Amino acid sequence: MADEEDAALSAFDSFFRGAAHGRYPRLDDRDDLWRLLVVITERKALDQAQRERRLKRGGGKLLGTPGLTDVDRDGRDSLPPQPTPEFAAIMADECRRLLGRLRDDTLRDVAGLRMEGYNSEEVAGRLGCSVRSVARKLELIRRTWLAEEETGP
Amino acid sequence: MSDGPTLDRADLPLELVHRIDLVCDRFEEAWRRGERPRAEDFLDGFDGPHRLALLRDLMAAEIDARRRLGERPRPDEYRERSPRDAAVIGDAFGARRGGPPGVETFASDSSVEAALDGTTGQTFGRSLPGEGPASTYSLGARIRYFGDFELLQILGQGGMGVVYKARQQSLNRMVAIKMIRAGTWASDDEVRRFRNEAESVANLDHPQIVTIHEVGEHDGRHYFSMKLIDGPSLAEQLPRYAADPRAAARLVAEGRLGGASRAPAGASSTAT
Repeated sequence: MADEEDAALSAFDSFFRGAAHGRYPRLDDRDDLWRLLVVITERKALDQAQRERRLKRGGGKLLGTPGLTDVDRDGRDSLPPQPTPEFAAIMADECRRLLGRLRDDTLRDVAGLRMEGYNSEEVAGRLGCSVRSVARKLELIRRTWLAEEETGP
Repeated sequence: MSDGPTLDRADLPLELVHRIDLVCDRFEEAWRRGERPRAEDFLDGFDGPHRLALLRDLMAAEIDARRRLGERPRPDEYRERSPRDAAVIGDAFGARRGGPPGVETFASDSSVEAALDGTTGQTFGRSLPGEGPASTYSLGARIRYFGDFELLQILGQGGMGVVYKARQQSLNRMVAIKMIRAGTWASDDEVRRFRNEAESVANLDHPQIVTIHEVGEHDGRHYFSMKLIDGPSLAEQLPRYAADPRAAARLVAEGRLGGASRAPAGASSTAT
């Protein structure tokens, strides 16, 4: 099997592959893995911003949150916030780290396919297991990641 | 989720959930190989509430595996096998797949457990629109209930949902009720599409679009009820319109394809 890093990179790529085929992740779903990843990344980005502010206290310009650019400043509300390159980089890191925390390649496969936009039935079909098994593993993935988020890296 | 004892998985330690997952994998693998292991035989090393949590998932997996083989597992077989675990058995039959166990039953307390599972087609007759007047199909002797609704007959089926003619008991009125088919497991996506459909239609106010009464969930099954409109389905009218393109064009122009002349056609045209 591919090593962890490959798995992580491929899962991260999978978002773009999925999107290219019209399978968008459902970021409105509280349980969606991408959303979870974004939430965890946001927290990390905020932590980094705070650290940097502490270091630069008083001097220089404020960096603000490196996570999301504020496109709303001029009062228009048409565009959603866009991820900055920094945010994307942190997210790629987090994705790799979190996939590395999973128990085995089966869980990483489930996470990767799900993030690629396949639904549970499709994931089950590809992995040759039951839908129920996929549901169990998704729960494990979410809980593992949430536990990571609580305890921090 | 289902009634009965709540063994909320969120309360179980993560490490235990991992162990349960691995045992369930081995169990399902054995069923895939053609063996027929029993849930109770995979419990070694699990005690007390942990044993119950594992047993529930194993039983749910066993029920699934048997249903895939075309069998019709019944709760009482399991109660006989494992009398002290009656509560867990109810859970294994009643819970939904999204959480851990369960899918198909929608009313654990009654005689209807099989009414809406994969065999619906045989039970009710395959009344696909266009195969003739749906009203010739009846439910047979048994009365089937879904929450407040007494299901009377199938009006139509689509790729995703089934529409029944039903009597809403509390208000004593006839309605059409549409629910996600149970024979296929409803994925999160399907549930979302179904809810979206209901919400979209509920927000429409048009004389040619059927009125939604309520949107809800009963025993893990999503449904919405709507005004029952009598009359032939669009499918039954199709030959007439095929022969008369101008009439077909008028039909579209008047917006009747959205509401059609009867509930199932109206419902399925929004869904499928």
